[in-house]
Amino acid sequence: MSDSMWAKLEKRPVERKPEDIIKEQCEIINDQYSGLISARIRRMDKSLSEYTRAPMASMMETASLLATSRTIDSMLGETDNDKSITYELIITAPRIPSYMYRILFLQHGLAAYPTYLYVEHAISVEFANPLQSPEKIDTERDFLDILTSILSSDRVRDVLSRIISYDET
Amino acid sequence: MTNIAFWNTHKNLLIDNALAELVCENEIDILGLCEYSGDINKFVLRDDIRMQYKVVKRIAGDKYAAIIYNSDRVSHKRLFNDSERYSIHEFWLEGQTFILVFVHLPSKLYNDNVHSCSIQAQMIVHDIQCCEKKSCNQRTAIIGDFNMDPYEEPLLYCENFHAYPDKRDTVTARTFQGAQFKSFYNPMWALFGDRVCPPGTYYYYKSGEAPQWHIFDQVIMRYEITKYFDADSLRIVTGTSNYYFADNHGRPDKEHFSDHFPIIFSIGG
Repeated sequence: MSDSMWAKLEKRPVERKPEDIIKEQCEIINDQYSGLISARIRRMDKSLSEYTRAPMASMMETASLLATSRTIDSMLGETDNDKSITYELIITAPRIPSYMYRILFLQHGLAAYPTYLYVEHAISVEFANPLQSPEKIDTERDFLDILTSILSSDRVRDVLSRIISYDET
Repeated sequence: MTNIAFWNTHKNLLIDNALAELVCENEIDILGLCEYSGDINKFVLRDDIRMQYKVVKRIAGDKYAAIIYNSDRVSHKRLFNDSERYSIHEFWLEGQTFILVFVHLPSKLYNDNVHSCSIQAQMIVHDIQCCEKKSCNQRTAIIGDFNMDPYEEPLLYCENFHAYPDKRDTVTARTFQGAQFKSFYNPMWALFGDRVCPPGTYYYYKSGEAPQWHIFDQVIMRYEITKYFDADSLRIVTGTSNYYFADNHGRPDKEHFSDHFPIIFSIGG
């Protein structure tokens, strides 16, 4: 019988999904500010899409399309299918009915990573290298680092402070 | 009629006198501002403003954005959400609730952090749809500085603002790739060209590029609002009795007022 040609296998730790990490953080802040802030991560029923088609050159091109029976949307181009699962991290407040503030969207495919983050510009510019939109994150470790910076950012702290201080009068 | 105005005031600290005259002469009931550097709480207390205005309280809004309303004629019922770039409100006016969304989208000229306009539009439309469900109505209008023209893709694409120049195309939702997409009516298309002056709200000249005049400041609305919308009321404003917002070439005088002209429209009846 011949020797094994297989490489030695190793059991690797499973990377936590970004939405599960965020869910833990939501529980922490909800416990800390119970009754004032409600943070949650929820799955969206549709994805955000970016198209790779080049932009229309001019108003003339648009006008000609509108004048015909063709639909502009037939020229949307390719979308990225690696972002089929979308979550949003939102903040609501029991004292401010119907109000919602969104901290970020995240998207990934069937695999948790790479994951793609969309954060508010006011948050992204606090980074030494401002975050792209979307910001691609390849590992759990990188996600933990970026998420820490986002949740502890001046912008998020300012908004959450306003929420807990909100007075309707 | 409820008169609504929007102005990007270019962080001009000396705009208040002209702004007060604009508000009073046009009997503005709801005013949205962006790039406003003044103190809006002091502005509403000016002696030359005859109406009783209140400032809409915001939470996560940009510090240069402000919204005021004539509390004798309209009421602000609730703030649904806000962020740096937009806010969604429920107002009571003309005996009904309306959803008014004020926007100031990123400028393509100065935006060095490349935010996809398309993604931004999708976020806003997603939030609007949630608010329409909460409010149980679709009398929704989006007003503000879109920083793009009506013919640009984020304003046209079905997954984005999906805003058409003909309101007859906005009656029913469109089906595209198996999904339904409601649309908006964009009356700003009617203001292109030089039959109506000025030919835009913003002027940008770059050698070799057209069209130089842009209609960045817009209102788009659901079909459900169009029966209340007075099309003749929609205008780009170049001045008041004592202030002329344009320079010698008829372009926005950014040195003395702003690089944008304000827009005004009315709904009601």
